[in-house]
Amino acid sequence: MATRSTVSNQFSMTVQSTIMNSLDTTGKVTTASLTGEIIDETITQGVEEDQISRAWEEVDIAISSGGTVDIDIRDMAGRDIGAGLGKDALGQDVLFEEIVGLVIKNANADGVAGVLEINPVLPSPAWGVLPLYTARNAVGGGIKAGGVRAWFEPHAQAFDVAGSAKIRLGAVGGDVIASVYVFGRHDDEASSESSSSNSSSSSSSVSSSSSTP
Amino acid sequence: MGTRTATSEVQLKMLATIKNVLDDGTTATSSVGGQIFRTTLENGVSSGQINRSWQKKSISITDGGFKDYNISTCGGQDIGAGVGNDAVGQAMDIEEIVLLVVVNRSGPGILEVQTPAPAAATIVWIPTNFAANASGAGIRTGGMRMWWEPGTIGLDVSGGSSAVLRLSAASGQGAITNAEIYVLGRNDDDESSSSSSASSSSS
Repeated sequence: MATRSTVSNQFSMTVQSTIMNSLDTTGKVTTASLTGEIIDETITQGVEEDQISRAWEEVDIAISSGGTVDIDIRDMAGRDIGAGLGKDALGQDVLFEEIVGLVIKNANADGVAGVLEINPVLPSPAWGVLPLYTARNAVGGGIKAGGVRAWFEPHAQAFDVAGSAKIRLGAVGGDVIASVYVFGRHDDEASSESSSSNSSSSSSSVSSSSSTP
Repeated sequence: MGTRTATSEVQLKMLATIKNVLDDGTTATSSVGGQIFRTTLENGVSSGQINRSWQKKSISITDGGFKDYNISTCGGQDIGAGVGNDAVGQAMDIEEIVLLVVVNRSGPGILEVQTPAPAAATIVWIPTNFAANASGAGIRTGGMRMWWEPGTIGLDVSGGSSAVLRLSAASGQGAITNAEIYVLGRNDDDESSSSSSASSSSS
């Protein structure tokens, strides 16, 4: 058996902002610098707190205006990122029992009209973590070009995925190019986890590829 | 009178390398993710711009309790520069959200968002039970939720009708000892009506 793992994992969210008030009478400026690193997490290999053992991404998901795409967050069934249906970039079966990080992006170019919705209608079976109308255009909550929604849960008990669990992405007002990034664990019980995670059978010609969002 | 401005740089990185060590020792690797976005926001009310910034740290919530935050006016909140004021002592008046981040920094409790949604002036673009412990979506220690809308049309808020964010500590799970809210926004959701510099009231 081969051994699958993750290395050099990072999730970080940084905001550096400065607000200024220019005083009319003196011409002087009052400034305040806010925040910094909101999240700066180095994530190691494993299935416990601050650890992941699986990662998956699909970029450039084309959704026609008015159309939807369902993604089973547990096994990515039916999704092919270039290494086979339901496979990760190494050509191995995807299996997430816990989600640690989820990022969904509307990758349309700035100004392109299509708006990305999340769960405009609940798919079946739906992943309970994302409610109906997680991102809904009708109330101004759709994800517009360049917009992103992110969930990060590094705790030992991250987002559970029990059985098939789908999220639905929809496009309204124009076509959408969407990207989905997932960090997770293939086992939600640390006690049942061996020191190395076994992958399903792998061919001798597994090829690596790098990708950038 | 004064003239208030704001600038910011925001970035989100999510990067992993997955690896498969084959039976003969050969290693296959692939990177996943990367820099999701890195954006410099200039002052203004158009795409890629902000002119307001506000943050609230050290939010504590008792087990089973909740706190409401109006992220348009920051009404009732005093971060040390006066009630409803930003860090330079000026009244908050956001009409569009470009970035909203909620973090549960510490404490035994599980942080919930819009669970349930407040009855009055709830933010309409965050659904009820957005982060509910009952559905396994509560925010545990170290967890974060983020909304990012840098385009011309951000996430609309209006002080009296769609502005209130409710944070709660899931009942029976313990208290929240340090939650945080970060907001970047614009004081005007209509580009054409905005002057090149946003004026603040004197304080």
